[in-house]
Amino acid sequence: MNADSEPVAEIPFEGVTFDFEAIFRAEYSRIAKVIARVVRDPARAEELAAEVFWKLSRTPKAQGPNSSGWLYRTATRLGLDELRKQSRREKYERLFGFPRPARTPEDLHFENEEHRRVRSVLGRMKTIHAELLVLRSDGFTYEEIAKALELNPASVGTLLNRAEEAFRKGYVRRYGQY
Amino acid sequence: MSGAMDSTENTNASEWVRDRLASLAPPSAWEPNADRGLDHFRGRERRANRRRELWRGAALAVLIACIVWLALPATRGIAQRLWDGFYTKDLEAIRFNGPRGDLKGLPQAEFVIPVTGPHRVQSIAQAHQEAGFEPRLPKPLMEQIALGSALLAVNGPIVVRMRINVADLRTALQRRGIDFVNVNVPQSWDGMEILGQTSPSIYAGFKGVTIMQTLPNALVTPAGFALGDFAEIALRIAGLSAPEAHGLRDKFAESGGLFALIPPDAKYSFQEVSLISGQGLLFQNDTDEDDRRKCPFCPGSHELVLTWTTPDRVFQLRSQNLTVTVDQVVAIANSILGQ
Repeated sequence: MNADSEPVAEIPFEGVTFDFEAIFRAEYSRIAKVIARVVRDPARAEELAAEVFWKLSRTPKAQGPNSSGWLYRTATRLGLDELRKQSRREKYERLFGFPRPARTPEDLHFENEEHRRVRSVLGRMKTIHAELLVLRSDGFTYEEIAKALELNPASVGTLLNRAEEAFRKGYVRRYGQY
Repeated sequence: MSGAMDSTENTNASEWVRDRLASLAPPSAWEPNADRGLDHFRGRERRANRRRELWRGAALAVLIACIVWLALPATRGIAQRLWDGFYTKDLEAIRFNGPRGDLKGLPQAEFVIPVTGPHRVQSIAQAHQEAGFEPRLPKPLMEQIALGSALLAVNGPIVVRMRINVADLRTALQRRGIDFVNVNVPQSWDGMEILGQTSPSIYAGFKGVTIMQTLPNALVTPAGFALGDFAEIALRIAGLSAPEAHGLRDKFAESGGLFALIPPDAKYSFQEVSLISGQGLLFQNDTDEDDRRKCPFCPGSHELVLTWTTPDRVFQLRSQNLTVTVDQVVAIANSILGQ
């Protein structure tokens, strides 16, 4: 912490002080990267990452030695919510013929990208399946996934297999490729 | 043999999925900046604190307005009030004066039943059944609902309660520099409860325009409670001078109107507009600021909000469609059938 910076928050937790800034600095980067996998835009991912920590600051039950798992679960859900909101907005705008801002060459390129397809499929999957795939794709171990999603570690492999199968079916149904 | 083939297929499928998911990797050159993140966090914290204060102020503003309205016999009959967004035939828009903290001391509103968000319904008949009244809408919108192209939703009733604390009222008056010896706050008010209730509401949305409607709302007070006196005190605490508070009360007594209280930091404009059913109050926000949390009738970013009443309905029309003009909003309001 810089000498001239102020503490973000210090939250009492079971008689000890929860060092919020320490966990912020330790986890922020990875949290933002997990969200960026889902929402595409790094700047938006950073805003949502800050939102995750703000939620943590408002959730005393989540504060403590196991707060990391809560952070990643919340981050993944916020990212998926954002993805679904984007999809709904685009669908609604298309449906009602809203004037849309002119698309940039980058937008046009993006529409044909594989990651757009992947995100589209993720946005339509069951939340738990999408969470499993996002965390696993970010390199989380089974144990870390179990901790983040509050699952039995022994069931993570099975659930991942189901999630992959659901993803594959959703992708093929939508894009017809395998 | 078959099992081995299945296993191979599963492995291939897994690899294929992982290859697809690998495309989600963020740009390699990007590294999240924790200092920037802390700035976002602090900004979020400041916004949340502001919102809490604004919500409290807004809830009180609404209740003050309700009280003024009910205090005046001339207004009782028309029952034109929306507890979360209100206006009158003879609308007066008043900005709060002074810092919001000065409203401390007015009774705090608390929700008696949990507030739920609107839930979607499939037909006008279902909306009618769930809300307990028939929605009135423009004919084209009803056609779009029948086609499934427009959104239709119902929200449950809202009930709020506030309990008067005489000592708090007197302290609040003192903070305003008002001698409560000359402004009578009867001790008999202490502990009295005031209850405000809205009916269920129906929302219909199409092309970025949403029409919300409720039945007239109710406010319940102990028998004989001097609501007019209380309203005048509340207005003084809100920062109005004695002549202003008294004058407004008198004015509304004559005209049968009521008023909307505007947060002091509101950046949107407001104006009265003429509708076939009477006067409406139009809020127009041409900024990027989302003021919806500041008060129940405040506009979001680049939003138009028109609130008006008919003898047995309260309507609010919101437009987030940037191509919709004020004239079009008025035309939509006028096209609602059965007003």
